[in-house]
Amino acid sequence: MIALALLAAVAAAAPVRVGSKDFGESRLVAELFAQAIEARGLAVERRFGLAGSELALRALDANELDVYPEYTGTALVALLHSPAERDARRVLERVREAFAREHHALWLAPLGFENTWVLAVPRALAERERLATLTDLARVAPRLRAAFSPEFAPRDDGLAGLAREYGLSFADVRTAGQAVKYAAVANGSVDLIDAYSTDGRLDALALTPLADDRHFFPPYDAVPLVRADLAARAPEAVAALLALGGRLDAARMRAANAAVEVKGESSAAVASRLLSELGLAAGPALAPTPRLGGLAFAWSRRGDLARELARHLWLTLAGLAVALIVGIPLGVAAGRAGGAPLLAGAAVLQTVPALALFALLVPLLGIGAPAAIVALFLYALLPVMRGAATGLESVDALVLDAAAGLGFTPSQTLWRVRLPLAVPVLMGGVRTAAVITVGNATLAAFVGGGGLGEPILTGLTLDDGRLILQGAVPAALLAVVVDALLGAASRRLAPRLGA
Amino acid sequence: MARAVSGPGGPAVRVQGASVVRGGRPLLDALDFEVGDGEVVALVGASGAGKSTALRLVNGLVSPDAGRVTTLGEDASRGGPALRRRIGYVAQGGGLFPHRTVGQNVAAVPELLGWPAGDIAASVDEALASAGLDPARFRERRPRQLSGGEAQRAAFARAIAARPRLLLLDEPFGALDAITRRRLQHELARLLRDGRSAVLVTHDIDEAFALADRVAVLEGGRVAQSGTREALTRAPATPLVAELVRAAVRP
Repeated sequence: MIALALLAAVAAAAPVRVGSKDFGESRLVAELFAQAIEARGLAVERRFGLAGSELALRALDANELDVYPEYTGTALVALLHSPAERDARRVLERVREAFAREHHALWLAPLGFENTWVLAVPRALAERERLATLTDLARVAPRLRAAFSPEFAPRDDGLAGLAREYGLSFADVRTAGQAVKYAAVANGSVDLIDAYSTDGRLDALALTPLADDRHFFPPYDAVPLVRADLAARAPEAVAALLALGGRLDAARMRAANAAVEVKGESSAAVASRLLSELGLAAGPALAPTPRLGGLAFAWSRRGDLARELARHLWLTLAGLAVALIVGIPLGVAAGRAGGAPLLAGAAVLQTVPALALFALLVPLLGIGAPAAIVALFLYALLPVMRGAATGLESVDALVLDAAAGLGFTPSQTLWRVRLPLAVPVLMGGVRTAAVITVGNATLAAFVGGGGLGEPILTGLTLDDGRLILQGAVPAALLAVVVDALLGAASRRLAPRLGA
Repeated sequence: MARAVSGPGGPAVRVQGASVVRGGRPLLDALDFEVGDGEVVALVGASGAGKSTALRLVNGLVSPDAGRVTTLGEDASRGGPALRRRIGYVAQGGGLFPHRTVGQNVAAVPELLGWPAGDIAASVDEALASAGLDPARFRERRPRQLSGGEAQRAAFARAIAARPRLLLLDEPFGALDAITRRRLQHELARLLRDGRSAVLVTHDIDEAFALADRVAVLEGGRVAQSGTREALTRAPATPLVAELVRAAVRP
């Protein structure tokens, strides 16, 4: 009984984990969720920027997240792999039923706006070619160059199905991330992009969304998707999310998105203003943040930067430390007869694209630091192993013969002769591993691991170069510093061989 | 023969019918040889005749596939590192540890044996002096800072530091110029004159005659003939022995 009460108390004290996917609106709505929950006096942990719906849902399943904003149409087609359905109520019913059964997750009240996909062209092109609908587009599509986001292109509720429905084929189709796509259409290197209907940049970049006149796209109502156990654990949090139901219409959402994506305000400030407009805020709204230039901006977020840098350093050191502890013995073993397959195995690991490796580890380890550290360790393994194996191999055979002949045991030879003499080559491998790890650690943010990848990821989704630099420049400097420190350590550790 | 073949402790080394096969090819084929207490035996032969393998049989780094090797009274293939610490070893080219000072190199075996620090220091100085290196000048140097001859002397010092009864020398003068070689051969002859047994592997018949009491010529993995210079010269057993003896220039 006491234990149960204690458990309940612990559960109540645990923060509500709010997640988002890696695009601006998802972050903004998630921030709104977070502040609405905090307004009721509960602690919130933000785990924003998860790379895609699958990853976010896996995090929810794995009890790494309590809630994130999801869209009904996305869930139906991309997560449940069901055929598209055009009636909004039916879609909501179907995802509610399927998620309750298969994921123990609840779709709360729809927020009131739909964020469907649209294809958009520059206004000048739309006027010249008299384009208003997708049926119109089919007429000129073979002359147009398109850029689509990686999520959109292969999906049956995306390009694949749309092209069939309207008979679309383009002169050229490329895949590009959010920020890149908008930049490309703005400078005229592509004629057409996919966009979210509530994207604030549509107005800002003078893009005309083309109407889905045959109602191909399923409804994409935005809804808080929560773990079913949250209602028992933190009923106040669920109440806060329910209170948002039906309060956000598309116009309000587009304006809010524009405030972040075009005017460069912070998601936190915009969400806070929205909450007070809706009468749900606990305190006064944050003032709109002015857009600051380079160094002033860097100074304004120095606290965040320090935290991200510390986190980055910790991820790097943890990944590297495990790589040393595991890699040096494996490198020693690889240098023995029959050990070659070990190096081959590590080399195969190295060929897995880094982002894919991070994503593959999420179902095993959840989102956050553990998955990131394991991925970093696996990437650092090859250079450490190869450095150790090559270093040991480089030791003069006659010196080893002398050691054996004088009566050193194999392990004495290893520790007193081979390893000390292998240090310069071994440390070369360690330095390579360290620089790789500092760079790869920026990918940790994609699986919720934090670090300097966080501003890079946010900058990419918000199309904010200042934020990208805030992550990229310190990461590059960190790599240089780590390499120099290890260089100095290497000179201290290296055997003194005389002149 | 200058000294007794067999002393009070029995022979230092006895190899009986030892065969070593690697990859289906016999390196040594029923090899027999003996090194008496206090005797110096040279193993001579062309490259590939099995000289180095024979030396590794003696200190147990190679185990015979057939036959028996007894070194300092022990079965060599079971002796392990403990046996090797009782044997002085000079590797080809010296094989000094480049990351240790000359003093640390010479101290290697006494350290492995766990001698007290004071005894180690004394033995290092004594060994360096015996090998013709001034301890005060050379103790703190690194192998890279030595000339070829100095490095070889340091390797001798390292081999004798723990005062072994038996020395194994694998082509000790291989890389040295002729003058240094001559000078060091004299030093070695002096070192070998104080009652130690030794096996010297060399391809140089002059060196073998100059240093050893007895020369064993290896041919095709076995001893073609073994004896003093006089015996080999008088009645060479094979064409190779005859050729080797004829090639010897120094009296």
